[in-house]
Amino acid sequence: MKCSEFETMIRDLSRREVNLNNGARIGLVSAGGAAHARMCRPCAARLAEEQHLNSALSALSQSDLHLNPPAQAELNLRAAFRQKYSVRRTWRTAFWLGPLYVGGVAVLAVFFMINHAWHTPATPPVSARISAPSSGSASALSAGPVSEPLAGNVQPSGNLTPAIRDASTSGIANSAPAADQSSASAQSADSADDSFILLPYAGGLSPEETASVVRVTLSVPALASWGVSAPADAVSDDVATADLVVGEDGTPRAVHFVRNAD
Amino acid sequence: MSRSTGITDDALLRKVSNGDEDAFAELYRRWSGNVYRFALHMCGAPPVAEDVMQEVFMQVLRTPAQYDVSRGPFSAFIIGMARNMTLKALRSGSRFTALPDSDHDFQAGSSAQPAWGVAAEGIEQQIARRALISDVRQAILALPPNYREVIVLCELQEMNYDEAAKILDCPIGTVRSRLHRARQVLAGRIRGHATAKRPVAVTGAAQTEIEEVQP
Repeated sequence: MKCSEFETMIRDLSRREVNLNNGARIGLVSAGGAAHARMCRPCAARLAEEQHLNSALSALSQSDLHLNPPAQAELNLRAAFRQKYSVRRTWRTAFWLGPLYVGGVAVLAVFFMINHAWHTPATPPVSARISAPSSGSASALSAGPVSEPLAGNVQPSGNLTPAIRDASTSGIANSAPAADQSSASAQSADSADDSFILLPYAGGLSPEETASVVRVTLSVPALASWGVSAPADAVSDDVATADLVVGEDGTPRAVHFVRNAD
Repeated sequence: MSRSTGITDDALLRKVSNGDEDAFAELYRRWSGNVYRFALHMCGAPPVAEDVMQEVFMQVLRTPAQYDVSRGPFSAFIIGMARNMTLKALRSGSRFTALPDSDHDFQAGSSAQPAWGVAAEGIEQQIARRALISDVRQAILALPPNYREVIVLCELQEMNYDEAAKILDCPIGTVRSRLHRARQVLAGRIRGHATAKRPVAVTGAAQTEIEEVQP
């Protein structure tokens, strides 16, 4: 065996704690190495050096087996672990409870709205602007009460202006005094045929008062007793069809004549 | 790798990712010592080793799914992380001051008995062994990092070539050759330490004592 070959196996030889005088304990290759070491003094010294190194490394390894990180490190890491996963748990909980919470709020909101609608008057406040009704749905009128003093040929008109309908559905109170509004309507009646005419001596609507629009047929003499004359194109057989603005007390406040062409 | 409790590291890691603190504690107990000692042998400074160990476990905590069991054992994964972080710390240029060996032994809780657990050993042998350990430690720290890491992995952590190759991300042959070379250098340094100390021991206080005793 050459010294270079011996060098390649020296670690294994040194690890086996070769007893150079007892070749029987080792395999053939190691036995060859041991034989070489017996004959070659530098290689024997090298082997002894390696064995010394092994024992030194082993001693260091054994001595450092007792070295462990301080206990505080584990506590810190466990605290970090708890912090991380508590945050994650919070998000997970929020993920599941969020929809439940939103659903609960929605149910409460619906309940509140139903309850609120139950306690508020069915008739919403009249709009600040009263203009001539145009074609529209009849559903809005059904919310308004039919005033008793006008009992007779009262029929749902179904012709509410968008302004009235908006005010009815949203329940917004009048923002301006109703009397002023009615006056404004009366003033504009001359210039606009489609506008409501304020009935003389009827008085205006107070800001809190609500009103509804109903379609009625009225006799011309009755109209004359109110101090209002119907236009000729709105009268047929001494009867005129009109939309009346009726206050909460059932008193008509304004009128609009439905022309025959309408 | 499966250790004392019989649960594999992979299974523990899955539990960790589900928020199981006990699994994390078990994983820590299994590997913190190895990671800490690896970092300590690599840099020689306990505070840095502690930082590296904490950072490794924080990384495990942050991304437990990072470990892919098909790529190798958990040991390779975690020691590989420790290696990268230690090398980063070494590259950062910070100067580490290693504690004396006596402090190491004291920290290791070995005040009652010698660290190597040989109570019956004579005091002279203990001192000699302690000096030897100190020499080896200094010699390892003086090695270049690529030699140092193979010594630490294969000799001190007693890993086989295959595991070391996975950690170092290099072929087994490279590990083998580096280890051979590192051992040669180490043996030379230890020999140098021993020969440097021997004259001092003879010519120092002992020599003075001898001269005083002999008329």
